[in-house]
Amino acid sequence: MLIKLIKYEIKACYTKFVAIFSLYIILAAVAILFLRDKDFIIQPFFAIAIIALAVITAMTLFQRFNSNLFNTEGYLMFTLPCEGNILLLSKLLTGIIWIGALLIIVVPSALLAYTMTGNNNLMGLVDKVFNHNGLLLGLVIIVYFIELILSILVIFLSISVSKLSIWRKFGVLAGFATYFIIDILNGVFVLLFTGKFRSLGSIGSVNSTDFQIFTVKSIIIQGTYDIALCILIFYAIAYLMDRKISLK
Amino acid sequence: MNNLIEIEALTKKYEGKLALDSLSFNLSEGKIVGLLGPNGSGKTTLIKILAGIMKGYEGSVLIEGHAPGAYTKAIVSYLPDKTYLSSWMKVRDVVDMFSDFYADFDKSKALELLKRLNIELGLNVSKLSKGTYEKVQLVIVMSRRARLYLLDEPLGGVDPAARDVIIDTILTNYNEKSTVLLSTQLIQDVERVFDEVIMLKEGKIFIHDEVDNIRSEYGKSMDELFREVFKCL
Repeated sequence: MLIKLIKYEIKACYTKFVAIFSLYIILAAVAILFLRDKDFIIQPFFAIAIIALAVITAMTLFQRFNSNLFNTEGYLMFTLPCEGNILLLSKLLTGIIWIGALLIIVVPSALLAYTMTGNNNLMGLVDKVFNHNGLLLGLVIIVYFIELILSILVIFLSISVSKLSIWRKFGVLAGFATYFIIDILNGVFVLLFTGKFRSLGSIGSVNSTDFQIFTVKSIIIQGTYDIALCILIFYAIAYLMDRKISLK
Repeated sequence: MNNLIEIEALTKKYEGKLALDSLSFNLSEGKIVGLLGPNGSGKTTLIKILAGIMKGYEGSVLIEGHAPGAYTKAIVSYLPDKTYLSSWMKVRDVVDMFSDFYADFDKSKALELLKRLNIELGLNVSKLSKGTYEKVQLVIVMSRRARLYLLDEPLGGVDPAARDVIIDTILTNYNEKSTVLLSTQLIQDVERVFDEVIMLKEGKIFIHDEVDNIRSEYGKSMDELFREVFKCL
């Protein structure tokens, strides 16, 4: 059932994703071939293009989640003989597939652009940041992946909460409130238990000495917390879908 | 005959309003049941609860002994009162999807019905006329060998010729072991096919009986009785 759901989920969106990814590849190729010696153009170009691509991908995934489950298409999806958790898992895994495709396209082109503009010591920077600690680097990548899943789930939960009939006309407001409450609670946890781990997001601009406080222990705490929150939010959404949300 | 549907004290409040008020009834298998009532009487709410897409009700709802959920969705074939197919789909995709998800879906029957109705498989559903769209939805719903068919206003918005095709499709494709619960306001067009009628009024059952009994008791057709009962509403 899950594989079938993923198959139809991919079929529903692949035309759009193939079109935007192809457009990015063409533009990136043109930029790399013809603008390689113009730093002042190529860096903003890649920054804007990558942000735009990420935003379009995210918007498509969340819009699809909303319209496919909670608008008229929901009458088809919620009458399929499967539980809410399977429906939700199909949406989540398809989202990961598309984000994976996005990374496969964006990361090599961004690295190429980065090295072409005179920054040819990328691995040196990574080594410096992580103090030759491969385990730390590996854990950070894993935790970032878990946080990516968590971010998708938080928005899925916010959309689901906004569909509860108790809010009447204030569903959208309730959805935003859910998102910000979870974000604030998450922030409090990070401040209390894992120090500055999240500032790794600005990897290019951080002084290497700042990273001495990022221990394997703090990253494992963060990862464990993220996994627990992912599981909690996943089952909360599935519960809402199975027991609480009624289609209008 | 076994009861396919058992409903006990079903109450549903929707956005502060009482949509269903302590409804209790059973439906046995092998019947075509008309669900009648004016707008806002609770027909669609009842059908949505049986289809498993409306939650938060009080009372007990059982289909073949199970509360609405994954099990009942495998044996219930539901036609909503709106268009619900994804806009990216071609008619062929719709048939394939039902074939993939429902073990009781008869693909060859669906293809035969679509061919008989001159509906091309390569057409995108978003390009279909309203009448053709509704025929496609009805064909896929009736091509399942379901235990219960829930048809919410299948005749709404289509021309009289299309209505005859739809009624014919329902009659020729439902099987004797299953039950059809059909909601409509176009009673005259369809009352000849009903075995039983449930008439809802303000969320309560006003009449639930076999059609022959109602006709002999009231001396009127269903359409005449409906017009008389609800003329002031």
